[in-house]
Amino acid sequence: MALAVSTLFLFLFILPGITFKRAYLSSVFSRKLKFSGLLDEVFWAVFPSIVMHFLSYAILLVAKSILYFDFDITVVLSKTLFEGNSEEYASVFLTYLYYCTYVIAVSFCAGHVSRKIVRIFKLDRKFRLFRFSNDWHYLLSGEFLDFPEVPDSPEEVSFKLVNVLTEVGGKQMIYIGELIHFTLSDEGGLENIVLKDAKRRLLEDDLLENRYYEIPGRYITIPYKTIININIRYFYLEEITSEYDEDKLL
Amino acid sequence: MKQKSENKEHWVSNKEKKSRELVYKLIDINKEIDGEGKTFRLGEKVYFVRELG
Repeated sequence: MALAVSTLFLFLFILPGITFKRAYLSSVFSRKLKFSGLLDEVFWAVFPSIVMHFLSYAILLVAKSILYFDFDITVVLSKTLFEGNSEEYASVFLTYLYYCTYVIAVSFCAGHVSRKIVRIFKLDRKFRLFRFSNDWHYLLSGEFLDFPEVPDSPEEVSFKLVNVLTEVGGKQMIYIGELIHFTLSDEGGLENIVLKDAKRRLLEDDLLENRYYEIPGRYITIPYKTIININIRYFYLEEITSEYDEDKLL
Repeated sequence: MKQKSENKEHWVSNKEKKSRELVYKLIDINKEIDGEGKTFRLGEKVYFVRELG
């Protein structure tokens, strides 16, 4: 009985770490949580938990000094984690539950705030350590250009041109157009892409001269399940108002 | 070191709505566009385009 209760207390103790991780990775471009090995999972549950307990304790200390209430967490934690007495457990269980709920709430907020900080300061683009799991977001948004190993910057992108090879009804079709929007899936992949002013042709018409034909509508949505591969190119576009070489115009 | 464009005055933003003619023109010449850049005419306007990345 005492073992079961102490295990429950221990689980509640590490729950804030799991909550923090889930909240941090809850955005659409990092939603998929992959199992990365038992040791890794335990580390990423225990380490953030300890940090969250310290953070929550610091907030409690500040709140205590402002709101003048009395709460001694050290007594509660020492009884729940280090003493195997059932009566001691019973006396502090409710207090410990309140405390854990509070730490979990702090961890949830801290996870979301941490992600916002990483995104605002572009840490995920500058450092691989902070990079989120869904690569499609970086690739299709153009943020990929901010990676240290890639020249240029996403702020210069005027136009994203994509070639999409799809297969529908046994025929392979290439769509080419301006990438205007994309949707990421909950599983951490890509749901669909939206092209503007697209043209298309059959892959087998590769050698024909006027092989592309226009699509009447302005926007076309292509589901990811029909896509075989995507070629994406980022262009910088500028209107020239100064002198230019007439002979070099395309 | 990331290169930043010096002339942003006439830069066409990603958010800017582009005409169908401009998109079709870029589609038509896309194979010739490289990192050095190319200029092309569309109606009365002349554009400079270069590939990033």
